[in-house]
Order: sequence, then structure tokens, then C-alpha cells
Amino acid sequence: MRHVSLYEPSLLHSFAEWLDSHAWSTALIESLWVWPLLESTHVLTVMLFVGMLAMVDLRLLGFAFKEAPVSHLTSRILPWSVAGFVVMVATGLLLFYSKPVSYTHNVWFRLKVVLLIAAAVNAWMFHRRVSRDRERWDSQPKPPAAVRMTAAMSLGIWASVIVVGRMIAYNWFECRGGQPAFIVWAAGCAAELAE
Amino acid sequence: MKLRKPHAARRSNPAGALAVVVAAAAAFTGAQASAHHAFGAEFDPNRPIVVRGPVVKIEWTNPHAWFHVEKSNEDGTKTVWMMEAGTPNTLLRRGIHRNSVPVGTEVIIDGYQSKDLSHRGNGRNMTFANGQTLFMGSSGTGAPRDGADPTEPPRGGDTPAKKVEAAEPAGDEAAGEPAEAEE
Repeated sequence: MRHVSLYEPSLLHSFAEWLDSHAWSTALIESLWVWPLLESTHVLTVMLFVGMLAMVDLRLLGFAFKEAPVSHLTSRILPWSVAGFVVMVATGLLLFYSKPVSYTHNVWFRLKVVLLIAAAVNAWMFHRRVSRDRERWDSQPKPPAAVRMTAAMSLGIWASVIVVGRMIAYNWFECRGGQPAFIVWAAGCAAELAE
Repeated sequence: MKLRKPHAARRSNPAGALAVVVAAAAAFTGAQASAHHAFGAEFDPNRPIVVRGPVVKIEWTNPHAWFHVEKSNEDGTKTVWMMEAGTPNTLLRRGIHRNSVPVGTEVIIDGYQSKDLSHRGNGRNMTFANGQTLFMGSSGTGAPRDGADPTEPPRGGDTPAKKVEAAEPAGDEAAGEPAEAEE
């Protein structure tokens, strides 16, 4: 609380408050069936997306389907992965929309967003790498180290996303008095407490 | 969860890969198992509490509803306690919805206080002025098997389960079986 006077409510906080004021947001969080179904669908499509991605990553690491060219595997698996991704993102956005202020000031959620950005950067770097000399290692049982590194990063980041995502529900760093200064900063508590 | 560096598994073979996956899965399910027991993560089974007073606010939110009850303390002060309940869906099946518990309703909620000793608790039984008692919590959370949950008989067997009368159904046949309400 002692920091409050130093801050104006942040832009993120104002945006979350605006979303929170929507009747649909309230209807979602209070719904009897839609919210549980959204959450279940989110988890199931995370499973589909990360599961498919994990098999590609394990191939790139040289652990799985070593005899199959990478392109053969990805052409079959990636459509499923993309389908999972689309529904996963849609349900994720709706879940955020149902409780925007709470998630905005949840350190686990913030960490998850950072990890998602890291995953996106990693994927982008991988695709640059692939477009450069994929033909050279497409059929190799064990692709080059740089490729394997991005695959390992992908597995590690997505596993972390899932763990951190699950932790969102067990947030013991809620914005209230007595949290350490680091948490007040990381969760953007000043903006919420300034309300 | 740290993944093994690629070069650490230079001699890759299916068994080795399987071992990595199994280890990762074990690490992950371990984390899940401890997180699944929402009760133990947040509430202290050794701090049973009884909160009696008028309901001042109810958050009918997923994945848990919260009942705010104003308790009058012995020194004359008042404290608002937040008591956690199941999902809106669970509560409806047990017989209550937003219009059946208006603000101001006198209730007695017994439950367990949060580990951080804030004025929050995990609600078990909610008793109304007319004596109706309702299990308001969630099943399968790892909460003490105190007999409040009709689907979780108390441990040991020498303490008989409290009779839990179904509250007045809220309109339709709402007194069905209690639902799981895990996040």
C-alpha cells in the first residue's frame, strides 16, 4: 500500500477494468456450464497442441520417428497441432475475458504470458532455421545441434507454460497488504490497490 | 521442468527417449498431484472455524463461489469472512442459487481457515436459520473427511456422519447428487 501514491492505475489495469465491466464477462464467470466447458476445452486443446508439438520436438531431438523425414512427420502432425492451437487460443482468451482484472494481477498469469512470448520467439527462430537448410537435415535421424536446441527449448517452454498456467489457480501472491515489494511490482499491484 | 540438454542423450534410443518422457511425465504429474488438492494448498485442516452472521456479499463465480459473512466478534467488532464454496453449478444442484440466498440472510458456515491466517476459509456446512444444513464445499479436494460431504464418509468409522438434509430445491429437481467441483 505504501507504494500506491507513486503510481497511477496502469493501462493494463484500465483495460482489464473495461473488459470486466462487460455484461458478457460477468455472465461467463458466473455461468453454470459455459465456464467449466471452456476450461475443459482449453485443457483438452492444450493437450492436443502441446502433445502434437512434443512429437515433432522429439523427432527433431532424434528420439522419435528417426527413420521418417522431418517433413513427412510435420505434414501429418502440424494440421492437428494448428487445430488445437486455434481452439486453445480462443478458449484461453475467453477465460481471460471472464476474469480480466484478477488475471492481469496474477503473477503466474503474467509469467505465463512471458513464456508464451518466449515460445513464439523460439518458434520464429526455428522457422528461420528451417527455411535456411532444411533439405540438408530433413532425413537425418538426428538433426543439427541448433535445430535440436530449439526443439528442447520448445519442450521446456511449453511444459513450463502448462505448469505455470495451472498455478494461476493457486495464487498466493494476490494483491493485498503485506506482499513483498517484488510481488507488488511483478503483479502490478499498485494499479489495483490504487482503485 | 528442465529438459535434458540434447547432447546429454547422444546415444538416442527408443528406451532412452521413453525414459526421458516418463521422467518428465512423472515430474509433471507430481506437480499436478500436489496442486490438485486445492484444500491443502490454501487451507489448514487444523484450524476449524465457525462463522455466524448475515451474508453481506456473494460472488457467484467459477471455479469457486465465495460467501462473505459478517461475524460479530466478542469484543464488539465485526469481521467479514470470505468462505469458499463449490462452483455455481454445484451449489445449484445442492439447492441454492443467487436468488435463494439474498444479502442479509443469517447463516452459520463451518469450515477451515486459510493457511495465511487471513479472514478466509474453506466452507463445509452452511446452516440456515430454519435449521437446514447444506454441504457447500467441493468433493475430492483433500479436505478433512469430517462427515460434512455426503460423498466422503468420515475416516475411522467411530464418528457417525452428520446427517445432511437436502435444502429446499431451487425451483426444479435440484437436490441431485453433489457434483465434483474441482478447478
